[in-house]
Amino acid sequence: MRMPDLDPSVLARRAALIDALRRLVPDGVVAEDDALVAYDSDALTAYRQKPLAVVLPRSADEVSAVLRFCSSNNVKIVPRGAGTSLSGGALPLGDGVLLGLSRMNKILDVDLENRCAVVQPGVTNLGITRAVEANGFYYAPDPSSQIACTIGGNVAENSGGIHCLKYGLTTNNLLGVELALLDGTRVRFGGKALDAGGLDLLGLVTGSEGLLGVVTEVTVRLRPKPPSAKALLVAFPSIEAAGQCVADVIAEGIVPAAMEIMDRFAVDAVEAYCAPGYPREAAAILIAELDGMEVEVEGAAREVERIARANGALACEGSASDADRERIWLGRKAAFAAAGRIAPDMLCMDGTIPRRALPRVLTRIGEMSKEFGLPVANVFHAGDGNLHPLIMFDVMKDGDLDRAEKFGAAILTLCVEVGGVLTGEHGVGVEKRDLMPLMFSEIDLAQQQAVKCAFDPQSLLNPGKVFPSLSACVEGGAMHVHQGRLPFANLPRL
Amino acid sequence: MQILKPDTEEQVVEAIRDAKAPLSVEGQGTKQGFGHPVEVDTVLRLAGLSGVTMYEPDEMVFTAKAGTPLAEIEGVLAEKGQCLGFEPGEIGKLWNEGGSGGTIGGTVAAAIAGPRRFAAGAARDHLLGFTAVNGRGERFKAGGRVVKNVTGYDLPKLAAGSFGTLFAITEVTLRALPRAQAATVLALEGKEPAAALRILRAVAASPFEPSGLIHLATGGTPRTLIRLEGHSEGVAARAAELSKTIAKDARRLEADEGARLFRAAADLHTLFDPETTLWRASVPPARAHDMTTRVQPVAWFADAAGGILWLAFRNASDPAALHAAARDLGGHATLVRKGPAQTDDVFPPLDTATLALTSRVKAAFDPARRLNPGRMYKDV
Ligand SMILES: Cc1cc2nc3c(=O)[nH]c(=O)nc-3n(C[C@H](O)[C@H](O)[C@H](O)COP(=O)(O)OP(=O)(O)OC[C@H]3O[C@@H](n4cnc5c(N)ncnc54)[C@H](O)[C@@H]3O)c2cc1C
Repeated sequence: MRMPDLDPSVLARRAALIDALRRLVPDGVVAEDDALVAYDSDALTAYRQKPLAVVLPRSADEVSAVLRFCSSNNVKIVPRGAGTSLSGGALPLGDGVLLGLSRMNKILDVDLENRCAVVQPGVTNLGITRAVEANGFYYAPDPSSQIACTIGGNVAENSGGIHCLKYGLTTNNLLGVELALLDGTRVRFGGKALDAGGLDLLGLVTGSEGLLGVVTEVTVRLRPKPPSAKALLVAFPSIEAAGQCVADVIAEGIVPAAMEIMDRFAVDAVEAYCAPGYPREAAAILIAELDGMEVEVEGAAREVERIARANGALACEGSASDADRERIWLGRKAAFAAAGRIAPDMLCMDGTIPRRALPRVLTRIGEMSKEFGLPVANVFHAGDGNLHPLIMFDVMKDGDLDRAEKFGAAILTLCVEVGGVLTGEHGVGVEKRDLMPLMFSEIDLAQQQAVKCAFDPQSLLNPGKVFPSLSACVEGGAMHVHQGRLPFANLPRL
Repeated sequence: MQILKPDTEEQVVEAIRDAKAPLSVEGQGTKQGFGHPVEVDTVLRLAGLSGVTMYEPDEMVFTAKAGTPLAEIEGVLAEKGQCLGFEPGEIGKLWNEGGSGGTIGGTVAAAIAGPRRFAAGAARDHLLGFTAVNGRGERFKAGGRVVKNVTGYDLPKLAAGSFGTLFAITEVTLRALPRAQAATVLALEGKEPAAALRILRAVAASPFEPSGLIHLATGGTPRTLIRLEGHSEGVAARAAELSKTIAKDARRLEADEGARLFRAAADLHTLFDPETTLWRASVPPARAHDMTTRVQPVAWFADAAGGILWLAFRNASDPAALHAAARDLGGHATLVRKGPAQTDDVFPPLDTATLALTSRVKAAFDPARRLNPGRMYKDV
């Protein structure tokens, strides 16, 4: 993976830069070589790089001061929340400051009258729900990493979770953000009101992967907790039947809170890991969760069961209690960890496809698994066509990483071919950067990079991520495009 | 006034690339009264780009050329029992009574949404992807056709509500939703505004999943309306529970009447005297009552449990006072239908840094300011 060239003038000034940063953020600079190891990757561990230094600000003012300093000294910045990104979004740069937001972890305001909470970026996703659940509220987007990942990281990645089918992604659950720009200025988009007014810059920065600014405060929408929920565990003789069932449920206007499919390989893996009691005879299982008022939940559960039977379900079991519901989810939630037991290393892919292409894509992934000689377990957010094939490999084996990456790229290429996209919720980062031309023309990408220039004219914020070529911003904030050709057209691409 | 009326995307590219002077970008032009007048000699009218080019009911997604009439889209979706989840109304009629209902491109570009927005989200939440021509005359696309997509910047969010100031949208891909099998509207009559808004907020914070929470104080007896949608059994159970608890004594409206009132709330034009100036304010819901008492509209209606207020004034209202009131209460206001010769700020005034950023974003798409210059902000 080629990253931007190191800036020798920055490396040469390292000691002086660190001294200056220490004055800006006393007690908040990590620069010792052995301590930097802890920060050398995010959850895409195949890529590692120690940063120039780690800076851990405690306030938005400190964030601004660091940005201003980096801007005047031409030093690159990589924002980082909890480092759980699966796409290498928080991968450090050797000549860049890793700006860790985890110390900014205060809940500033819980405003139940207006059904929102104002929090610092380092608060964990689950931390928000914990702060309001006693009052019957919660924050809906629930990535599986929710114990650890930060709301700032969620905003930057526009993260999803299993309940996004009904409640939307991060972007659909935000009311406002405060963003520190490269020059240290802070701007606010939105607030506690329903929309932001003016251009939807809140929508634009959500999912911008730390390339446009540093999120220093977030206002999230809170929702009332549903009074009851029920999970159905359905066994299917084929993955196609499970996929068709999901499509039929949605077409009937039933909106389950979640619909997840796991293939047999994934089921076997989690059974070996935590024995949730999934049916072993099935080629695929579907977990559907219904929530709302009890009569409604029961009614919808009957409908889903009817549709499942019509699609040849082998067995259908409904949760009898909350504990039972948690048991049903246990296996799904442990899928990553379980797959991690089987193989030393794992790549978690994240394409989205039109639901109807599910059978075709899954069959092809099965064939490719044989071609590449690497096992793959399939878990996915079936309700919205978001696949998570888990490719297993061993970094220590010669050529394995390379094959795993090629396998992953082949899966994503297939997703795009059937009308889908490269990433549904994990972000482009470095992982899918060089695949971007599969979805976007040079002009499409140049247009997006021009937006980057509007926010970051020096290209110092998280460079080397998302875009397959580096952008040079020209006067007026746009990127120079000559006859449809990008500058740096000679940089390697896939 | 010259009107360019392209029939193809190629012609849109040519029109913009070859433009010697700025263009006014419009669909059918029904919402030209919204925003500052664009002072140009040439109109780029996109109504000729018309037709639904892809509709997959089982995937609940469709693509339409930007100039497709909104009514046509609704008709096509209705045939398959689906609809636009954000419930956009024909608000173009606010400015031209008896006129047409506008285009899908204009609906998205002006971020129009009706009462179901409270539950299902706004235009921004339903626009999955689009194709457009930027001010350099380059055709580009963004987003995709699936609901879950974080590949590249979320430009569809930016497109919704950009009022043609960044690019000319030529094609949009949107989600469709199945029509609810059943709907019930509960009505409370004659409530004082503060009490009515308190009830709506309590319903919003309840688990009864309302899909519309409005209070109409637009003439006659004020009405507070709660809409519940879904499967009939569940709707009935939620309605029963609500009338026993939060919305005591609520009356269940006849299906037709409930539908008519919500349609009017989405269309707006039948609710307000055509002579009035009309504002839209968005404040934290608990401040809605403060807003109405402070600015004293002659007629108003609260959507989204007070999160959105439509405020009508007899005379050209004082824009500076309205903007200030909304800002003080933690929100913002937009002048939707202005009085004659009113030239004050239409959109919420921006602080220096945000205005500068907005100008740079504009320049990223339209550096020579060819497309709707000044429609949202004077120098943008
Ligand atoms: C086991 C596991 C399960 C997961 N499950 C899910 C899932 O179900 N759904 C899902 O969507 N994701 C999932 N993820 C991915 C990951 O947790 C999310 O992307 C998460 O939002 C990252 O948050 P973070 O705080 O760890 O951010 P980091 O990994 O630290 O950073 C992620 C990106 O955000 C940027 N960033 C971080 N903070 C800020 C800030 N304050 N301002 C600006 N930019 C910032 C970084 O530069 C980087 O580009 C999972 C990851 C793991 C390891």
